[in-house]
Amino acid sequence: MKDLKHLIYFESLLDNADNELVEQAKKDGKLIMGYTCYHIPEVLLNVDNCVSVRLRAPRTGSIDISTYYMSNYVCEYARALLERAIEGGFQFLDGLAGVDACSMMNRFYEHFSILKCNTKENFFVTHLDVPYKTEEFSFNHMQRQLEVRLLDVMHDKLGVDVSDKAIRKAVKEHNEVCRIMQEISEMRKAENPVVTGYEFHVLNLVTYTCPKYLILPYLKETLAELKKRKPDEKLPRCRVGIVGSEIDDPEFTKMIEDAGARVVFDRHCFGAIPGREVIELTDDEDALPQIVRHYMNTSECARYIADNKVLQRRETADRLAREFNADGIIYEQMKYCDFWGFERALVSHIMSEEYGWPILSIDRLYNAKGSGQLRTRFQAFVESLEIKKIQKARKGGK
Amino acid sequence: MVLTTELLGIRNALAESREKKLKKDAAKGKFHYPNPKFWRCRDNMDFKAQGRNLMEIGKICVEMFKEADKKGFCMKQVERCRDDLARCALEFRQATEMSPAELKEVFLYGERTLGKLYRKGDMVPVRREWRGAADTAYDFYRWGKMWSMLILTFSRDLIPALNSTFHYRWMISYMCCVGFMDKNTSGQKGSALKMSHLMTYDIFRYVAENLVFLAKGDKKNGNSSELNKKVVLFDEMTMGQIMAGFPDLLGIPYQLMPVFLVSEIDQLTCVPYIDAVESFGLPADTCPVPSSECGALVVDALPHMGSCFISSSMPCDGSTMASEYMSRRFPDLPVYHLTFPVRYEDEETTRYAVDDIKGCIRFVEEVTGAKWSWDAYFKQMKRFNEETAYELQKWEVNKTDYPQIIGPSYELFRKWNYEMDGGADPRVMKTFKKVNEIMMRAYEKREQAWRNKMRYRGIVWSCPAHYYANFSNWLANCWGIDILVEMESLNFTKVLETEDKEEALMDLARLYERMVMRRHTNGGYQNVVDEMWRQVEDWRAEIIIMYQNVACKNMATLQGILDDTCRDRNHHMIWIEHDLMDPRTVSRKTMRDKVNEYMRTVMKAEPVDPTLCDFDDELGM
Amino acid sequence: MKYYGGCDVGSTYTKAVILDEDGKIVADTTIKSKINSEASARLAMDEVLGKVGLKSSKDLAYLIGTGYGRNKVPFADENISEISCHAMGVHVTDPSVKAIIDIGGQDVKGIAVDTDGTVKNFAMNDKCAAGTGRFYEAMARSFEMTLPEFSKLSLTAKNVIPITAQCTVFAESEVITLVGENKPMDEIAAGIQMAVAKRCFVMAKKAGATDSITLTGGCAKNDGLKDAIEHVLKLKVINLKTDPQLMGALGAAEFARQKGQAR
Repeated sequence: MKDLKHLIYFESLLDNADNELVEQAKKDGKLIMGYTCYHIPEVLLNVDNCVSVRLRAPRTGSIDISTYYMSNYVCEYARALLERAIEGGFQFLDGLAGVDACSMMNRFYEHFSILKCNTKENFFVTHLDVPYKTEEFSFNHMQRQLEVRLLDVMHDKLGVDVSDKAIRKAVKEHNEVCRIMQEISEMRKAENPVVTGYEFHVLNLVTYTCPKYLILPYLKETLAELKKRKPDEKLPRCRVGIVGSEIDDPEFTKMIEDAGARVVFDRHCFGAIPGREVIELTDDEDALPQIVRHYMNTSECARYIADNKVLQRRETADRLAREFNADGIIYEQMKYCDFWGFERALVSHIMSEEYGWPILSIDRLYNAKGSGQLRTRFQAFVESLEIKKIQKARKGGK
Repeated sequence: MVLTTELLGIRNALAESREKKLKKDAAKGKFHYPNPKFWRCRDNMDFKAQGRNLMEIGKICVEMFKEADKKGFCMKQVERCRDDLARCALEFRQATEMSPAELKEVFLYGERTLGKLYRKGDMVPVRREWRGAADTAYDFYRWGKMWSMLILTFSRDLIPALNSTFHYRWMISYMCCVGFMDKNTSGQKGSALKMSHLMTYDIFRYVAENLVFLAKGDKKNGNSSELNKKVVLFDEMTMGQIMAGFPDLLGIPYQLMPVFLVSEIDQLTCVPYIDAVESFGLPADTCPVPSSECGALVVDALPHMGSCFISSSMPCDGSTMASEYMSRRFPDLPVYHLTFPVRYEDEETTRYAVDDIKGCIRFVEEVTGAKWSWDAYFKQMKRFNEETAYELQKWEVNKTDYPQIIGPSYELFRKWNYEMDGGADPRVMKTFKKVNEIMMRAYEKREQAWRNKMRYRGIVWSCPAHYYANFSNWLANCWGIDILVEMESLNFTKVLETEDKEEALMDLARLYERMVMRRHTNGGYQNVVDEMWRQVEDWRAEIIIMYQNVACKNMATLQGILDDTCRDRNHHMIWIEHDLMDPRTVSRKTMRDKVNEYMRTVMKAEPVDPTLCDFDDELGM
Repeated sequence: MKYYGGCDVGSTYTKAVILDEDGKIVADTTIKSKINSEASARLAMDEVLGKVGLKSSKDLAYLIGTGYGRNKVPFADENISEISCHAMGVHVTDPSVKAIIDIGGQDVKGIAVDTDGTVKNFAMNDKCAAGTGRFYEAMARSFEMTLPEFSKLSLTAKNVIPITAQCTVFAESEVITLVGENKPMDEIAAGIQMAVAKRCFVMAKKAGATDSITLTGGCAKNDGLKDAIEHVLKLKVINLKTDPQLMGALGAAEFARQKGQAR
C-alpha cells in the first residue's frame, strides 16, 4: 500500500512524551494533564483550557533507578514511567490524575510526589478510589471521587472551569476524535483492510498523547486519504485481535504483522476498544454521572471482579473476534501485572475451550521490540492459524 | 462394617450425653459455641463412592509400595538408629562429664544449645527439647491435653472427619500439628511457654472444629445438605466479623484450613498447588497466597460445600483476582464480592464501604433465608472490644524493658483472633484473661521470655514467611533478638460501636479496611513507611527484621523509600527475602544466613547459641 | 620483622598481599583463578611469599583468607568475609572514603564504611551476572575486543544508544542485533556503560553514597564505567592510590596485622 502522508510525522510524535504538539499546546496557554489509566475519564482532563496526555516512556533503556525504588518483579510500565519521571521527562505536566486501580501504578504516582519529579508550584497528583464493580452505589462513589479528587482539585489548584457546560464542550471535541477513529476502525473489518494494525496503533496512540484540537486536522486528512487508499493485492496470511493489558508501543503490533498476520482489533489498554467510543449525552441529566456510567460500563479492565464484568470481558473478546473476522486472539499482559496475569491464565483456556478461538497467550516486557522469543511465538501462531484456515477451507470444499 | 457400626454406636452415645448437657445449659441461659445445631446436622454420605475412593487409594498405595526402594528405606532406618544410639551415647557422656552444679542447672532449667536437635534430611527434630524438669512436665501435660481435644473434637463426627484424609493431602499435614506446637515453643520457658500453649490450644480447637465442619459439608464426603444450608464460605482474606449478625449461620474462612494455615504447619504443603497453577498458565511472579488458593482449585483440593461465597478485594490485587477461579470451579455457588475502597483513610470513601456491607448482608439473607440480628452482632462486638483491650495490655507490657508475650504462638493467635474469631467464641475470652494474668505476674517478676536474655529489641515489618513461621524463635535463640511485635499484629484497635446501628456499620467498614496486611499496604505509602518509624520509636526497636516477600508488590514497590529512610535514621534493618509459601525460591537456611551475615559483619556480634547458626532443615516440617 | 598476609580468592582473579608490621605493602600479586580455589590461593601466596623471601605461609605472623573461595584456604589462620575486607582495605588506603561499590567477577556489592574501617551496612547482588566482570567479558566478546579497548571505545561516543535487556545473555544478543544494524559501535559501548552505571545506583544507595564513591574490584579500572557513573549517577568517583583490585586482599592483610599484633 502507498504510505500514509502523515505516518512519519505521527511516528515522530510518539518519540517523546513531551512531543511537538504538546509543546504547541503549552505555547497556546493550555494546561497539560497526565494520566495512565482508562479508569480516569480522559474527557474530563480536556475541559476548559486543559489537554490530556496519556503517559508513555518511549525509547526506554535501562530502568535500574526506578527498580531500586520499586524492585524487580513489578510492572515495567510503572517502572519505565518512574524512570522517565526521575530523569525529568514529565516536568511538562501541570497535573497528574492518578487512580488507585492497581498497586504498582499507584506507587508510581506516590514516588512521583515523594521524589518531587515535577517542581511546578501548583502541580498536583491525585489519587482516586475506583470501585471493583458496577452497582448503583459504585457509580455514585465514582462520581463523588471524580468531583472531590479530580474536578475540585483542577478548579482549586489551576482555576479550571469544571462546569457542566465545560464538560459537555470537552465531550463534543472528544466525540469528534472518536468518530474518526471508529470510522477507521470499521475499515479493519474489510476482507482486505486499507489500514494496517501498525498504522492504526500509531494513529490511535497519537489521539491519546496529543492535544485533540491539534491532532484533529491531521486525523481528518488521514481519514480522507484512507477512504481513497487501495489495499495490497495480497491478503494477509491471517487476522488476529489483541486482548489484554497496556500496550503503548506500536512496534509490538508491527512485530505481529511482520510475522504475517494482520491485527484487526485492539482490545487492550491504550487501544481503541474501549477508549474511542462516542459518549452519548442526554440533556435531562448532568454530564458527569453519564460520563461515569459510560466509562465504567465500557471498561474491560480485569480489575472489575463482579460476575457481570467478568462475563462481559469474555463476551466482548468473542464478539470482536466475530465482528472483525479474526482467525485467532492474542491474550497478552504486561509482565508482573497481577490483574491480567490471573485473567489471562484462566480466560485464555476458556476462550479456547468454550468459545473455540485459537489463542496465543503471552506476557511481555514494556520494551518488547527486541524480543526474539516473542517474534518466534508470533510466527508459530501465524503458521498455525494459516494451516487451520487451509484445513477448514479443504473441509468446506469437500 | 462391624467397625463402622461400633464407631456409630460410640458416636451416638456421645451425642446423647451432649444433648442432655446442652438442654441443662440452655435452661441456665448458657451460650455454646459453635452453635450446637451445626453438630447435629445429619450427614448424607455416599458410602459406595467412598468405597470407590478407598479402592483407588489402595491401588495407589500398592503402586507406591511396589515402586519404593525398600532396601534403601531399611538401610536408612538402620543408619538412623545407629545415629540415634551414637547421639544418646554422646549426650550421656557429656552429662557424665558435667560438674554436679552444671548437671543440676541443665536438669532444672533445660539444655543450652538447640542446634543438635536438627538432622539433615529429617522432617522432625531428633528428639523433643529438654526444657528443665518443671517446664518439660508442663509441656507433656499440654501435649496430652492437645491430643485429647483433637480426638474428642474429631469424634463428634468421626467418619467424615477421618475420611477427609482419603480425599485431601493437606489433611495429612494436620497430623503434625503437635509438632508445630513444639516448633513454636522452641526455646521458651516458664510463663512464656504456658502462654504459648494456651493460645495455640484455642487456635487448634478452632481448626479441629472447622475441619470437622468441612468434612461434614463437603459433597464428596459428609455431604450434609442440612449443614450446607447454614454454611457461608468466605475468602480467607476476609474477616469473619460480618457473620456476628448471623448466629444461626456458620461462617467458614474457606481456604484457611486447606491452604493458609497448613502452609505454616508444613512448609511443603503448598508446593504442589503452586506448581499446578503455574502449569495452568499463571505467571510465577504472583503472590503465593492467591496462587496457592487457585492451585488448590486446579487440583481439586478444596471441599465442595456451602450455600454461598463471600469473596473480597483484599488485601491485594492478586487476592482480588483469585475469586474468578473460585466462580469457575464452583459455578453453582452464589458469590458476593465485598470490595472496600483502597484509599480508606479518606472518610469520604467509608460511605461506599458501608453500602457494600449492607449489600453483603442482604445477599446472605436472600441466599440463606437467615435474618441479620443486631442483638447478636452487638453482643459479639462487645466481646471483641474486650479482647482488644486485653491485646493492648499485651502491647504495653511488650513495650517495657521486660517484654513477656512473644513468639509465633502469640503472633498467630493475634492474627487469628483479629481476623477469624473476632469475639465469636466466648471460650477465647477465658484464654485472654488467663494469658494476661500470667503475663502480668511474669512481668512483675521481671521474667525473661526465652532461655537466653534479650540482647536486642526487634520488630518485624512486612509479611513473614509461612514456611518459616517460627523464625522469631530462631532469632531469639540464636542471636538474642526478641521480636516484640509484627506489622501484621498492629491493626485497628478502636472500640467498635455497639449501640448506634449506622455508626456500627461505619466502624465495621473501618475495621475491615484495616485488616491484616491491608492496613499497611493499602491507602498510601505512609501507612507502611511512616507507620513503621512511628512503631519503631514506640516499641524502642533496635533492629528491624524487614521481610521481603519477593512476590508482594505492595511492599516491594516501597523498598527504596524504606531503605532511604533507614539510612537517614542510621537504624539497623535486616532485609530477609522469602517467597511466602514456596521454600524452594529462598530456603530457610538462606533466610538465617542473611541474619548471620548482618549480625557478624555489621553488628559485630557473636551468637548466643552458635549451634543454631548453621544447620539443615531443608526437609523439616 | 613480622609479616602479615591476606589472600582474596575471587571467582575470576586471586589476589594476595603481604604487609609489614607498620602496615606497608611489601608484596602483592594478582593471578587468574583456577578451578580449584585452594590451588589458586597456594599459587598466589607462593608468589608473594617468594617476593618477601619467606618459604611458606607458616612463616607469616598471621594470614587471613577472604573472597568467594575463602573457605578453601586451609593454610590461613582465619577467614573473613570479603565485605569486611574491602571496607578495611579501602579504609587503610584512603580513610576519607565512606562508600564503596565492589564490582567483582560475578557479583556487585555496595558497602558503607564506618569511621574505624568496619562495615556500617552492605548489600550485594549475587543473583545475576548483569553488571559484573562476567557481563563486561561477554560484552567485550561481542565487540571482538579486550576489556581496555572496549572501555576506551565507550569514552569516544558523543551519543548513547540505550540497552534495554537487563540480563547478560539477552544484553549480548541485543548488542549483536545493534551491531548487525550497523549502529555506531562507540555509541553501543557507551550504552552498555550507562546501563551498568545505572545498575550501580542501587549499590551506591545501599552504600549510603551522597556525593562520592569509590570503586573496587577488577572493573574499577574501567574508565568508561567511571565516566558513566559520574555522568549518570552524579557521583564523584574517588580514585585510590593502590590498585583497586587488591582491596579485598589488602583488607584481609590489615585484619591479619591487627589480629596478629593483638595476639
